[in-house]
Amino acid sequence: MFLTVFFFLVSTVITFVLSVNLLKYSNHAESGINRGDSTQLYQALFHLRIYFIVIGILFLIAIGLLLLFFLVAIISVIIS
Amino acid sequence: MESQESILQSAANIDFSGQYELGSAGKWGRFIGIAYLSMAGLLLITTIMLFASMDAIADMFMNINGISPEALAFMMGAGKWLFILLMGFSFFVLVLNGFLLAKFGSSSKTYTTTLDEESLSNTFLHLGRYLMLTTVLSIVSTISSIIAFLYYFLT
Repeated sequence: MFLTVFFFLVSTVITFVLSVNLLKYSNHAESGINRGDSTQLYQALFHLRIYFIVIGILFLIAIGLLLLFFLVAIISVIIS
Repeated sequence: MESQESILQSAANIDFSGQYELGSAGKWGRFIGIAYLSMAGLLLITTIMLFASMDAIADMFMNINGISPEALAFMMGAGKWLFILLMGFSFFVLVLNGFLLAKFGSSSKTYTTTLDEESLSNTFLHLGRYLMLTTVLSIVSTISSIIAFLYYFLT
């Protein structure tokens, strides 16, 4: 039960962070392109970078867990 | 034509800091794209291995949990092809996502090194397609979740 709530909260926070950054990217990019404002474009690209960094870190964690799983599986096969 | 002009007009407005941000986003995008393509490869290998040993898996289920003849017939008939369809769709989506992100990354790298306006246009073109695909998948996922939720509570 605790794990379910924990994973639910973590996934909610991650989704929220991703959505906010994508929304800010969209708003700043639209404003920057319409007005030709470089500061707005910079803000848009900054939020796009944060969006990709969050997804990238999640992928790194997933790859790490996958490797750990394989390592444990290999070790358990060797031991048995 | 109008949207292309808008992108090209704004090209002059991306300053050095913006180029750095775009380059960094591109590097992460390319990494995610390569990860997506690797996942697609893993999915393909797993699907082929599962499909090849379907009989052994059915035997294992029968020995461990027991399985009804109807469930076994579904698993070896329509279920098998439904599984292939789902895996094929997932593989296609992963490859498309990975390809678009990898192209986004390589275009942004070209732009930050050459400041070529065509590369910038390509960068946003691939990013736009990736975001469009992500949006469509999110809508499909939300609708299917709502249907599953309603089905669970109404039956």
